[in-house]
Amino acid sequence: MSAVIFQPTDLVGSKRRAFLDAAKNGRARLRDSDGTSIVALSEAELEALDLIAVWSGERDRLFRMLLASEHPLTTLELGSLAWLHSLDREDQFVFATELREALTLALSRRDGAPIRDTVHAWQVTATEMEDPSRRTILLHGFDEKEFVDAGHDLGEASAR
Amino acid sequence: MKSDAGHAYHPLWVTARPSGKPSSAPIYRVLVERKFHRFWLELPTRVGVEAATQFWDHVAMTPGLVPAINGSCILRGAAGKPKGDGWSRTIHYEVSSMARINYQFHNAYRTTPDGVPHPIVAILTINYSSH
Repeated sequence: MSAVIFQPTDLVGSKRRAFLDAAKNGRARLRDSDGTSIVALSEAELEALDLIAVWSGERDRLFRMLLASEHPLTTLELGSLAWLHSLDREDQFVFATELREALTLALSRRDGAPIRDTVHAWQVTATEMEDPSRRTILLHGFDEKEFVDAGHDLGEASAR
Repeated sequence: MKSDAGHAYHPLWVTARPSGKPSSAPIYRVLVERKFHRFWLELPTRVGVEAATQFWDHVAMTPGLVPAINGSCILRGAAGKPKGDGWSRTIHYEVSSMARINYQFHNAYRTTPDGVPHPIVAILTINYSSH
């Protein structure tokens, strides 16, 4: 963190731009008249740090539960991760691993996007796996006998 | 050459584009899983012809690219694994907020070991519920 400590009066004075630039480039430190130290940083970085904090905790909790139990985790046990319920234990372990990788990347980049992208993709996957028909098809191999041409009816339907 | 809707996949049958003939020939033959064929027929009605055509153009021409307009992601874990050698991972395409399609593609699929390789897209599932 920068050694420069701004004063409240700097926010309306000639150092206002320096304060804003310091905040955008990392951290800007300000000491209030009562001695309170305040730190300003970009909202994007703060969001990234919040995401890292939240998902680090979630990831550790999930990993502990998976290691502690051999039976499928219930929705009550999963709690805020209940959306993982449609996935089997192996997939839940993979999620925990990918989340760890995303956390590492997010921290190194100071960017929450790796976490958001990873969580989003897994949430989408879990939703698609909730339906038994979709689940069966997604998990099974390709059997061309089970597929048909899209067919000319689609074109006729759209023309009505 | 047209195919009758619902008949088994025939490599020489041409598939249909929702809004009619495209300006250039489709590269990939588009197949749909039998259980979701009726969902496929509903697509233009559910999302509109323009959105259905955008999806069609995407999978018929560039199924491996990130869509220019709509959101997409790769399904994770077992649901995302390729169906076999040469198959892509499972791509999840958001046609609209109320229509999502999962598909895989193969650039050189053979119906028989000595058959002619041809690129195909297999539409696996269609989901009309909101997320």
